[in-house]
Amino acid sequence: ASFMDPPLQFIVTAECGRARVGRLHLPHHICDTPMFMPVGTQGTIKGLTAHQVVDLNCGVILGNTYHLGHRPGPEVMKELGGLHEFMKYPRAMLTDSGGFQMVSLLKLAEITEEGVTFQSPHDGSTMLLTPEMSMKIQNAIGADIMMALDDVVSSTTTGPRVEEAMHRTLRWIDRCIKAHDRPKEQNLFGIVQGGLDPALRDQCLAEMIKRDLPGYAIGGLSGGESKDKFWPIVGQCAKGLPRNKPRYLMGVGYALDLVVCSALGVDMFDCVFPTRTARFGTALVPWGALQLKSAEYAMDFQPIDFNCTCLFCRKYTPAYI
Amino acid sequence: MLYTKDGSPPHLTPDLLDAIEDVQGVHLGLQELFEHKDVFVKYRQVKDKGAHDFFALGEHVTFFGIRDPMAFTESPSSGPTQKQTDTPQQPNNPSQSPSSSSSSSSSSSSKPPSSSPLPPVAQGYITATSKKGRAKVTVQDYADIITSLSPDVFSGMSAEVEWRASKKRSHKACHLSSDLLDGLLALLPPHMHQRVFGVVSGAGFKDQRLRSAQDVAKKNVAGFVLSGFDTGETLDERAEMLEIIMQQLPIDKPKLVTGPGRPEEVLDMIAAGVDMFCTYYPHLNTQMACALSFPVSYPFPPSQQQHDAHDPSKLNLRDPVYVLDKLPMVPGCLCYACRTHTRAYVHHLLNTHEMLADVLLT
Repeated sequence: ASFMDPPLQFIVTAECGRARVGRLHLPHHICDTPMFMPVGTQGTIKGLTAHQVVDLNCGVILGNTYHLGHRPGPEVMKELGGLHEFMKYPRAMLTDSGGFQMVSLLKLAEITEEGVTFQSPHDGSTMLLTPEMSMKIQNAIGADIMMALDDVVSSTTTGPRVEEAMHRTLRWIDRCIKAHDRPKEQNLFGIVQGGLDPALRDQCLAEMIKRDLPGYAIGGLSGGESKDKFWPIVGQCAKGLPRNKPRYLMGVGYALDLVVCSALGVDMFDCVFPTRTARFGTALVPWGALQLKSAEYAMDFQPIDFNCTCLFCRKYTPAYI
Repeated sequence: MLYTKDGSPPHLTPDLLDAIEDVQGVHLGLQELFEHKDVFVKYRQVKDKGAHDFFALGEHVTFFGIRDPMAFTESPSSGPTQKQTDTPQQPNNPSQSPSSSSSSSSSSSSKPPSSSPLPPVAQGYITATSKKGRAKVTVQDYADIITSLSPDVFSGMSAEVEWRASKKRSHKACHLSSDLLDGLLALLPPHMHQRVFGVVSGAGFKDQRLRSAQDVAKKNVAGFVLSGFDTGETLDERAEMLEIIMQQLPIDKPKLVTGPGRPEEVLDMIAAGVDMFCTYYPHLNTQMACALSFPVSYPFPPSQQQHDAHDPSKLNLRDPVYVLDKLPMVPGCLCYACRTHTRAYVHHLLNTHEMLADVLLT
């Protein structure tokens, strides 16, 4: 990693309506945006070697603070030189704060002002994740971009809980900023919350921008809300965030979502969808999704996509898969 | 010869397979591949290509064998292993109607014209066991698979019997191997004849082994498969039988054995004259989270800290002692996994049940 000051620079190189093309300079890599970031939750993109991930021309990949904080844990991670050294992935990385697990593991989580208490689904042990703890683990992991710990509610939640979460997220961002130990090497992104309520979103945007962070994420979406509620909030947040800083829409998504949200001004995306759907036998191609387990492919010897140069298309046929 | 499952080496994409310098060849198995015969025949028809292309095996030598290397597991004691699944064999039956199960393969020029009934010996068959169950593989079926996949070398058809089978069963198997070979050669185009390995049968019976070896030595084959090893014989019995067999076989043709894979046993067999080995021993170690670490060249490197004191030939990477170990799995090894990664990382991957663990261990 090269020493950069500041550790993030974002340059918009072209615009079309609200959409933009950019170059994101990070300590470990210079990335092109809009950028899709594959998810390597536990320190590996499932089944792929680091070399193969580079071969696919990935930029930033994700690691997950909750999982890595549990196994191998921050002390081991620090001793082994951080996640880059551990995984031997030479390009850039981003760590989620652990906040999403609040939503995905809700039955096992208890949220208070102090932090989130999780019960591990693996061995039943409890772990308290505070903003300070999240920063500590993420500092040990050493990713180029760290996410603040936010109070996430499911997008289908309504009522006062949504507002409570938004305000708490703001109180927690200040705690994160204070606890962040490596601001010259790692970039802390704040996350805009507020559910599906435009007024709450506006409030959160204004407050978050005051903290003058290197980049911002739009959180709390992509959780089952209807699309006609989803797009406007994305549009509102993207528009409300500063032009000259990267905008990251968390947890998105499907192919169509990527296109529409890029048009709305989003620069960065992450989702488990492509890797997960592949494990179920689905290939994603420019014109849709192919279920390769289906009998219709048993004798299909034509390459899936004549224009594609990936390993699969160069070496194999649908029949083989 | 590297073990493959359904035609591909487990966990290895073509780029990773090509990067392993010590692997020159792979084993392809009838038991698993037979049920996909129609796909291979079609592939040959449509693209005029075979196994190398379909399975992306690059430049590796392919051997197509009858016996599945994985039907055996290593026993806890130091001797060879348990019995295999029996494949019942049937002798030729001239009263059977001509085999109709094969779709014709257009590349075989010496196939008898379809109007005349197949010679009796071509109706002989063996049985293959796949996930779907048992299936009959006639000589015609086998010829079709071979001509479609076009492996570099392949076994003649044989019925596998265990070492301690009855004399009668073993005797039948010997005859079958011999007769089916003739039938196979009659159906294959001439250019494929120089790729077939004749089979030496005979289980644990010295007289049968002797006759089988003498018989197949006379045939114009490319090499020999010594069947029925690692099916319950003691190491002494194995050594004795190998000596008997080797005396009958020409010195200038390769000999192949499927089954034994432990380093000491492989070395013994090499000393006895065996040239090619089909084993799933490395894959078994991967499944058990072990990295094989025995030295392969002389002089042996100075011993490092041996965590697995009772078995210096491998490391079990699940052991918590590796959690902070920054060494590569086998220091000095030049494979991708050892050049790039640490024991600590592999240990973590095993702990979190990640697929990459299997890839790196393989």
